[in-house]
Amino acid sequence: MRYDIDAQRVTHERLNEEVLIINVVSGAYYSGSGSFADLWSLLAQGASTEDAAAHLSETFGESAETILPGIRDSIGHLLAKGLIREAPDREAPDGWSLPDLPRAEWQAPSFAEYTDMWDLIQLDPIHEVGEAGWPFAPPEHRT
Amino acid sequence: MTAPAAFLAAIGAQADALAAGPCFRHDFGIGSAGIRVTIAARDAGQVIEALPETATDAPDWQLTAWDGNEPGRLPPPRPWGDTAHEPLGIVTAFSDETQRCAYDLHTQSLIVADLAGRRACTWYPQIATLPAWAKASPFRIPLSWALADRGLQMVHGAAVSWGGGAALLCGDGGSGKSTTALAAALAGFGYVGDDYCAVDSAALRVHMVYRTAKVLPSTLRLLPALGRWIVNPDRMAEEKGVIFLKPGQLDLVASAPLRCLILPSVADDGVAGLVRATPAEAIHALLPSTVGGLMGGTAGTPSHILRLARRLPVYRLRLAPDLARVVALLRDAIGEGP
Repeated sequence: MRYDIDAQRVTHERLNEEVLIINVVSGAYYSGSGSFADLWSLLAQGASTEDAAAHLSETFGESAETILPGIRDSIGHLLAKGLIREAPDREAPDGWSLPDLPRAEWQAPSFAEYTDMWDLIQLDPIHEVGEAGWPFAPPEHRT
Repeated sequence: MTAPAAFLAAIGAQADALAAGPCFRHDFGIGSAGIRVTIAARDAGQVIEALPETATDAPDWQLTAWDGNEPGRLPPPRPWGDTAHEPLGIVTAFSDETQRCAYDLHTQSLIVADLAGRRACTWYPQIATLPAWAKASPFRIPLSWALADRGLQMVHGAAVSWGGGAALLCGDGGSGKSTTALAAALAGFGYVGDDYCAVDSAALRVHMVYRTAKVLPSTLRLLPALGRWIVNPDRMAEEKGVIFLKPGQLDLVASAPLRCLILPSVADDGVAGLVRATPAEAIHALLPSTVGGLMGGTAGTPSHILRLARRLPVYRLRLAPDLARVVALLRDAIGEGP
């Protein structure tokens, strides 16, 4: 299975070892680095799970069998968050491109999620904001 | 014609008809973006006073606004459900790469943009009765789209300049970025903005978007000189005090090279200080309120914010009651930038 990114819902950018992803519909955003940034880059280029495992195995000098479970987990999380979607008709590209960076030892891909925006956006700018003003809630509204 | 295209055409035709009548017009530039605002309303309040006065030879984005609930002024019935704009404001079923539809629940305004035609329309129930904070930062959403078309990113942050360089102050609520920016401006720094600014992350420049300031009671206690300029002092128990800045009050700067990102925070020990911070801290200080305040941002938002955080030195500025010391530290940070 290959995947794609719905440009109307998700914006993303990779800079060196870091990737930043925003779900512009929910307002949640995600950041990750290392193997996650590489996995994201490959998925964005049209890699299947197996393609990503093969290329990352070569890149990180680790067996595909070792890294495949972490890749599957990460892809599952990305699907669940709506950041990628299945694209069964997408064709494989001619090759894969990752930035030429020093790589640390393989660690399963992981990313941080930040989801505090929607609660803030709903605040009434006059009556429910704190000293800082909109879009920041007074302390009693924070969870 | 698809439903989204039909709605865009209907709104555009209504805007054309209203713009042919009596209107307030204002042309201005923000960086490389040239913008013409046309307001078809009996009373535009101080909305135009909030916008930059920077001249532009060729406005290539049209922002048209009107108000009213009577026939001819009420927009076409919205062909979407009551909650279609949730959560961030964008009506996704009527938005794609060529057009955007949005509803701003805070001003109850409808925003429809023809991105390919470089035009946006905004309908308000009544412009003259918008709260002062809304008049002080008008057209925030369509302006952010127009600026994105010119490679600029609107960001939630304050900016001040000194010696030909500028600092962008970004941070959590209550961190003190507005107070710091206004203290610096009163001490002779150039004032670019205290709430929303536009950045060019390729050229590393920051541009003024609004020539206004928003003042909390706590800021006013520290900087009482601002009190004479506040237009809504009777409302400060409920909302921020607002200043529509005039030349001569502060040194208004339309554009300046960015030298650093500043993350203000109140010093627990009461001692002002300046320490280096990480790009990750800058991203997390700048991104949530920028994305949240701009209905998710645009396709270029992640790129702009990553580039700013990676290319500029980031400092945490510890704020203390000695504002003169805080301002001196800010001057040091700008001086040490790239």
